[in-house]
Amino acid sequence: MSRAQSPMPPTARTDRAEYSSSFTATLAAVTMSLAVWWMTSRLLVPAIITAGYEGRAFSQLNALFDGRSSHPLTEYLADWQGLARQATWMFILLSAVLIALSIPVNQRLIDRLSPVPHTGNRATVELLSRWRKLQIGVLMTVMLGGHAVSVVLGAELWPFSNYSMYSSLQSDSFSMNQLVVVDSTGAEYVLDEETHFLPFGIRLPASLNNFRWPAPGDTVRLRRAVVAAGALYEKQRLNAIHDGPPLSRIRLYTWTWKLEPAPERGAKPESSTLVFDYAIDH
Amino acid sequence: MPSTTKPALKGNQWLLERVNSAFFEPRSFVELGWLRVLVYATALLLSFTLLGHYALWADVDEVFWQPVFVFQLFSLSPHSPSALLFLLWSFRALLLLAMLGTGGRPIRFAAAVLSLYVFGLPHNFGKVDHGDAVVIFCLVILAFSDADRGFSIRSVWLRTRGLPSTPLRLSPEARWPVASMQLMLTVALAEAGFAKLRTSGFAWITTDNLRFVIERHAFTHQPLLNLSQLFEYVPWLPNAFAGGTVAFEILAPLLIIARGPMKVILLVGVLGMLAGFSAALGIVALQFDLLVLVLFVPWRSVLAKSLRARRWLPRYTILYDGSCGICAKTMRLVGGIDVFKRLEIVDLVNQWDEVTRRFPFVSLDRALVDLHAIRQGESRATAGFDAYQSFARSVPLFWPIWFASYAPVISHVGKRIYRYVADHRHEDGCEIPPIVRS
Repeated sequence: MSRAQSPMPPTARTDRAEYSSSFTATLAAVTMSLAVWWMTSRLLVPAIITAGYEGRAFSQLNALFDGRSSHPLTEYLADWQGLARQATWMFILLSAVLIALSIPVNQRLIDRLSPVPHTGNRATVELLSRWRKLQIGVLMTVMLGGHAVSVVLGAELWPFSNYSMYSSLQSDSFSMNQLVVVDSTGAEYVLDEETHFLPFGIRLPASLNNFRWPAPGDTVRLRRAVVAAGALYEKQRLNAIHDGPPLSRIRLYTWTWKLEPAPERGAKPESSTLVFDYAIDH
Repeated sequence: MPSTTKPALKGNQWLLERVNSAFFEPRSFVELGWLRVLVYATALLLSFTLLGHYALWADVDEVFWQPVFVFQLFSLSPHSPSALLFLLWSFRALLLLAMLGTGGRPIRFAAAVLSLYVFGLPHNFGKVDHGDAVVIFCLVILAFSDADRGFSIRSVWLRTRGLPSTPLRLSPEARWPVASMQLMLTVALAEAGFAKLRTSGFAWITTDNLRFVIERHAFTHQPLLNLSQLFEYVPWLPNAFAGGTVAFEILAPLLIIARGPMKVILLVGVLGMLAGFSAALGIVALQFDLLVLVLFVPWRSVLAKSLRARRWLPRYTILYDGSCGICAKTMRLVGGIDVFKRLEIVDLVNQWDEVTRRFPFVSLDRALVDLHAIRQGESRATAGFDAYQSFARSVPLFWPIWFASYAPVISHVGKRIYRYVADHRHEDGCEIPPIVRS
């Protein structure tokens, strides 16, 4: 038997057909991926979470839901839905970018903007002058040298740094300063810094920790920081930046947890020490 | 005849050659242009995601003011809310202009200088976030480079006016900024790894240190996974994670000179480590995540290969009976679903001359009874149900059916259905349009 002859040779419309089929293929791939993601996120993962929560899955998966005594299944499913929603939006955004890039007119534009040098294009090779090499050398020396100085001095010289985060050994207990707001009925609320103490967010506890109470020299500053945090909270509540409860008092606690044996997620602290209790003037 | 093979380089020479190649190998300015777009787009994205409520920093009490080195050096301080907003939006505008490759070095320098203040301001209130510094270094490097000589509005503008434009040149000028940005990113990771060993020694890896860190973060952050209970079943796992973390941090700079499988292993390891930070500690080092993806993944090549990925699917020529209405309709449907255009559908009734020329091994009598499919480059055809089964692999929408067709029961039933339809198609088929001879 003779071998099959090759198909018809390409025509002048090859480029247009190529761009068009690339666009169609991209559209199809994105659509199929979205469909698979939708089925995974809406059907498969919730089923796995439910099985793990009810202890019907394999032991390592069941163990991930150790907070089931204080957190209902709906909370875990709600957490997953929130995460899946964010992931879906990112997926849609990336898909839109990909589809936009694959539109034939955009493909043509990108190809025109991105000519690739090869021998047929008569590309020439440039060399760096000694003066240019010196400039590059000085730039890199300054940037790397700044890091080196930071490492030698053991100091944070932002933007240069010795990147010493998490380098110390963590002991089997830890303490943190926690702001608690008190409303007019005396009820205490531990609020989310990301929402109720803008723009600090996660920076607020770290900032309060820097005052290192009970170092006597920083007690005054720590008290002033707590009062300032309360004033910031109230100002933003009155400007409708957040919907927290009206502030009657603000308290600073030092909470301590033991990490051995491993505590349950959301467990109350082993000890709670009231550092400051301040009434807010209205 | 003298030998033309290069002598193998030894030790230091090999390393020097790799480093020299990594930093100064002549490359195209188009590649640098693409990276310019991605880095400035990353900075622009970070300016929106990390700098929310920016103007509120003006209202923060000065008791929280703990200025970092640069702000102390230049006596910088927060301005009024309107001034902060003006600076923030000016910064974003500069990033956009630099991303598009217009305005030249003044724009890129202005963006780099302004980034020190705009990104740096929140770090003066008690906590320093190290990811922003790497972004700033990248902007500084791009400001010093010729980042807009390719894939930029400026290069297009020069070409349209007949002025010299150099996107087709190969130059070390197009390579050193890329390698330098990669170096600053990986040096940050390596420093973090060495800092752990310098401060705590190997106890950072061998003790329960990482387990305690992960447990602590369950209270201070919102990690995606709670690994504490998992560690009870696999007690050596936290030590393995700790060792992997330190190893990949210290080895990260090798990404610049590594090639082939080693580069892939290192890249997957670093990305996995960063993903682990997010999942286990609740810390999303967005700057590091994005810059590793931008600087070390060749997106242009990946995109081009993805768009050509359909070439991995084999091409088939399908011969069908054009006088049969059912067959014609079926082939129109198959052609419509074939989004990757891997199937050539040929009406053997109207194009028999061409068919017999290209596929002399095909029998007309046999082909009029059963659909035939011929894979490109082969000299045999599959017929009937087997033909459908063979070309279905080239149409992703048919893949579920393709997989299922190999199950014995489904295969048996499918063949029976095909046989029935094929044998009765002229009895029950609908009227076909008149044949038009070319």
